[in-house]
Amino acid sequence: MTEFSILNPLSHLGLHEGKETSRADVILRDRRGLGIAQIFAKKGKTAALAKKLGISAKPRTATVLEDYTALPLSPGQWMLFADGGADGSFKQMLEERIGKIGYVSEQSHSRAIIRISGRKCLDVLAKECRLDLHGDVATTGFCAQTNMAKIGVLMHKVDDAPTFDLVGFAGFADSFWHWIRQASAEYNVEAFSESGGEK
Amino acid sequence: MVIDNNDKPGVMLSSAVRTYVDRFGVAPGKKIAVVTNNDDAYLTTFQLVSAGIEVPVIADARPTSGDMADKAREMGIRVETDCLPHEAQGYLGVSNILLQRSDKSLIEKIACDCIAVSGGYSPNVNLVSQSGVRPVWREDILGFVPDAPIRAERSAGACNGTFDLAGCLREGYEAGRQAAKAAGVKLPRKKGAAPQAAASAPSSIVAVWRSPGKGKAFVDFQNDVTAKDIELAHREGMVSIEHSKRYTTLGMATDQGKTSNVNGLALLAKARGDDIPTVGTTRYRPPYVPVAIAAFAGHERGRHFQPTRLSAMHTVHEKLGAVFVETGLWLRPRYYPVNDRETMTRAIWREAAGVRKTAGMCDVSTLGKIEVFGPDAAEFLNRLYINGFAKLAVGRARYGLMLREDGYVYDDGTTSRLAEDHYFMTTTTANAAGVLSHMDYHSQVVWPELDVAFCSATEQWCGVAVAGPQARNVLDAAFDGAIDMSDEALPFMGVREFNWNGAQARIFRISFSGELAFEINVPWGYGKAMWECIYQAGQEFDLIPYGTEALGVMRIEKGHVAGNELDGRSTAQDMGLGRMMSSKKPFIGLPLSQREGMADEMRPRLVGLKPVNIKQRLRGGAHLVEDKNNANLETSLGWVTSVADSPAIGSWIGLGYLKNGHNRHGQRVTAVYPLKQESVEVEICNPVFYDPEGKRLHD
Repeated sequence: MTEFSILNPLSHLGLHEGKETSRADVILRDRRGLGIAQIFAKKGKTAALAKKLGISAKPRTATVLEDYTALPLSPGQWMLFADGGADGSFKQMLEERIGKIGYVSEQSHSRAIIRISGRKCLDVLAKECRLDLHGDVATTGFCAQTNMAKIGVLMHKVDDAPTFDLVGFAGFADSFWHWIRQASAEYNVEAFSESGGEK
Repeated sequence: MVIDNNDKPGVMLSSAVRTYVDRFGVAPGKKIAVVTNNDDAYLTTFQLVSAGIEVPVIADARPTSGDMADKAREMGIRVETDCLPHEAQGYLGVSNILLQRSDKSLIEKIACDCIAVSGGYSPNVNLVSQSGVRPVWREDILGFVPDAPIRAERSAGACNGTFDLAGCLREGYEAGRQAAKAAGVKLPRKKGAAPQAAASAPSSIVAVWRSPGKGKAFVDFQNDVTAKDIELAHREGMVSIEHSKRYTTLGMATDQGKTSNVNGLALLAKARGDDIPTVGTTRYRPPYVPVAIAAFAGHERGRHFQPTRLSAMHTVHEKLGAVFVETGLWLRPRYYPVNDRETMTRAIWREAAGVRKTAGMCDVSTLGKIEVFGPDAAEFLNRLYINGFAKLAVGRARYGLMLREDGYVYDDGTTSRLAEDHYFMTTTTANAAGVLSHMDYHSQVVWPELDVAFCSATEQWCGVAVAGPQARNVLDAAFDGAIDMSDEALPFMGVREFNWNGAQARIFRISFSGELAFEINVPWGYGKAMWECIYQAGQEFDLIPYGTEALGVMRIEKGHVAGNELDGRSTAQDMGLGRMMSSKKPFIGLPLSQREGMADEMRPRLVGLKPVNIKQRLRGGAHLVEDKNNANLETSLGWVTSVADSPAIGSWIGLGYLKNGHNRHGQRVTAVYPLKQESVEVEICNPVFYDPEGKRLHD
């Protein structure tokens, strides 16, 4: 077998890692190689599962831990993200932690994660996002599922800068990226890739 | 202020004249006469004079002059009070204005090339009116202002009838404070204050709705409504403002009567002999301001009319020269022409024949994939599908068919059992999202007691189908012993997991083409590499890539139903799949599938169709009749759903629905296609044209 590289949904863009300049109004980062898993609590085990993983069972509330970030999807369901572990090891670790009170679906390859920040990032998001992202309403840790540019997006407010992670299906990644580039075209936009670690 | 001949180029609103000069540095005329009933036109005059434009006269309708008039006179401008414009004169544009004092002590024609008209400000009550508020009349400003709010809105400033800057700032500040408070914002304890501005005395105003003339005077410029039209409406009995509006179309254009409504109301009031508040206003409609269609379309145009969904192997298909087709939001390879000269028809024929001769590979990543977990997963699937899944052994796959609640067929696909409480389901490309929400609904609303969890895995896994007599050899070479694909290790409808270059891979021995075939799934990021690996290994076996068209040809040869047959009007029995319906368990659609009309033996049934003259082509959509000379909707016995120029059979073949068709194999009917004046005699046959015993699947 010849050598090959594992592709990311936005590999074809040819982005590089790097640091933004002070001129950047909008900063986009294609976050690659993250371990992603969708987890489900068995019936009646939502609280137990949340406790076991140390995550919040509250809706629209992210839990950011050292090992992973958990975003709630619906009662008893979360999407978990880790630096590395896309080779299945993150899923395996979760299965071992969870034991018999839930299920884990491997999703590491299924999503593209675009991180958007910069002083104009809210203006860009406002073009398609129907959610109220005002800092008084959407505080750090806010997360929600919505639809932007006709594409389903799981959104997470990472910090108050503000910085948002936008998680969408891999198949739509190119289309979504094209939208977000168009939406930020009126500003100084700088785009990079970001490696999720070599675990 | 409605003046005779006010459609002549050069008659403009005084505020518009000022905007041209102030904002754009454009002089609308060289000699601009100003007519007014309020102070605002003086501001225009001062701007004009300071820009070096001549103002021959200000005709002020008010009987006495005020400070502004004095100031204008000091600047040497002629100001006539108690003076009204009679008409605009000129041929292709304004050349004179005819003025008249109310006691007719003055009648004078004054040369000018532009007339700036100021009839006072009309508060913009469109938005509050849209929210349901009825505007109320204020005599002091001769305008309608918003009544108390109905919704959580507030009016401030000019739209509220407050025209001076200090008043606007004060009202705006207070409205903002109240809005913030209502939104739950904690206000600072120390109360702030509105920005200050010099107070100005309110302008006096007198009512001048119509100049004294009797000629053509437009009220609504956008909808061409004149003062006479309103009088006519009244004479015709349209005394209600609502009737008058619809009769004349006053205020119904995209500007929603911003400059015309109050004039029109006043004219109707005069005709009725009533006052304006008695006549009232109509409800304003959107748009508040004209909106360009492009603004509605926004980003959603061109390639972004819909988002595009791409497979992990998309770039490989591009490199292979694939011609793409939209299947839902996905772009899929339709066929792969070998060169510029190969037509679509030839390419499809070559691909379909090539798969059956040696082997072909096809990107099947677009199929909907759903992972189902839980102790009740088996029971859940048993209720979704018409056939049983509880006894499906781990490591095995099964074709499943699901109905809608009304008993008609909804979707189909192959579902595998990966563990006792873990299934891997597939759906058609088209119905993937629909099936998932169908499952969500039933799990959350209908059977919340079932302990089952599921999610989409469509994009986690990408899939390649490898089909043809050489399929196993191709994959053996590609995977280099990573997985045993012998009949014993991986029998037909078997599923195995294996490690491919560090990736978790799954191989399914399933077949849509009717050949020995496998589908391999690997995580998205490995898709391109896997395709290239199989493609390279397959070259010594004459492996070819094939697209959706060849896939379609082969499934028609095998009599497999697809989108054309799963048309939402067909039952499992219509498709010849009635025997799959389990009698041992309930499932969605069972009760309604047993209705009399659904179980009728005479319903159209799936059949195969072959032209008697094998040189003739069939067409999808053709109707099946006994007598081609008596072909109409009453005599139609069914229709052709799918057709293909079949390399395996050597002629066109078709699938279709025909009344009582399952009992008519061997008989003949005629397929008529009136759009092209065609009729083709066809023989009714088993829909499985190719290898009906299924021997090739087990090779």
